[in-house]
Amino acid sequence: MTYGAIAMTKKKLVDDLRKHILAELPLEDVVEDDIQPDTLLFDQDGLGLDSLDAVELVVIIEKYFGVTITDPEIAKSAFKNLDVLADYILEHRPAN
Amino acid sequence: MWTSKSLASRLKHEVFQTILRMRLTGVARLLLYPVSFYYALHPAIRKRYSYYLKHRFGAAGGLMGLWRTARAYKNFADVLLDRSLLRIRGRLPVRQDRHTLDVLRDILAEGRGCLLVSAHFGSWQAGILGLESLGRPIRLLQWVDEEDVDRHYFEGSGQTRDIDVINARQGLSAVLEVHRALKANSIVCCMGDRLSPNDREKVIVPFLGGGIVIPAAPYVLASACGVPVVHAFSIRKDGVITGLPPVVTHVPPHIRRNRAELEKAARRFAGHLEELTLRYPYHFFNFHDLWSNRHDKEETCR
Repeated sequence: MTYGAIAMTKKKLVDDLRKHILAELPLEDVVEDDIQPDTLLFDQDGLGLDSLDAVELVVIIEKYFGVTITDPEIAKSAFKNLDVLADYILEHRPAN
Repeated sequence: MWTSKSLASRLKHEVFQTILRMRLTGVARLLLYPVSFYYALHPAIRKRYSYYLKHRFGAAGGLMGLWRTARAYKNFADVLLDRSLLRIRGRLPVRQDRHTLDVLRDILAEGRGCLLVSAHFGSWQAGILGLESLGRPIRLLQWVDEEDVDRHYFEGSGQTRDIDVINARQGLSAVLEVHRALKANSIVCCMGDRLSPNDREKVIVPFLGGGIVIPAAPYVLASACGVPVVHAFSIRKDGVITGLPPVVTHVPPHIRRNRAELEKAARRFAGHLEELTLRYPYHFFNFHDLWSNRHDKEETCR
């Protein structure tokens, strides 16, 4: 895959993640523009998600991208922001 | 912070342990009557139980309040004695409700696990022992403080090799562990009647004529993981820990986006618990003032 194709895939992945987060997590008054690729997901200065959101996020990633996250340390680093999360999914998603 | 040792000194614990080691369980149970009455005489201890008594019976003072407190503390002391017996002998007689086992067997046959929600009612921990015949791992999600003796309930018992505690104090690690356990078709047990310090999501529900705040986490976890919630309780009846018929609640996905469904599930739990307190009034052992904390209620009533 070329660099351009990877970049396109990652952009689409970030967009998809954003769409699922907005559709499935209970975020009040949050719109698409509030979730940038570098917006911190679990920080009060970012989206301010909590541990219950983390479970929902784990389920989303498993359901839509086929990637399972069970290790809390991996979750803590992969859930930093959408950019990091997309990288993690690209690296671990099952080959079609 | 609540610990059973806040009720009795180490010396008194040792006295009971010694009696139980001598296999004089009947003597220990008899001794619980004067000991419970003695404790009920303490104003601070009566006050702890008065919140519940006031809502359950309408009044909590005078001789009747003393009598009711002593009865409840005797039942609670029996539960603590059972814990000591389990640690000393490695087994406890538990008669699980057959219907509960059938219901759980059907749920587990689907391979998704289930979330079992109980409360500080009856023999909530010992009742879990009766589920071991299902042959699935059992995980206990609870807030574990360093000095909390509850975590020792199943320790050192040969009857309980499949029961592990998930410490809710660990936040993200704990919820991921719950998710992993449910995926592995385990039974995850938790308490539905008291908030943990890190419970951000709460629900206000009617209970014994007032509003109480309970955690939403059991229903949110069940919703996210796609498993049913089973309310399961057990009490000590005729000397045997006996499971009571369960209630199963199926929660929809994304329940936090549907506050009405979340409240419905939580109300169902509170309603079930209220029915049990009406039927077995002296087996409710939540010694907190559940009806206070107005700030929390206002926040939750959005």
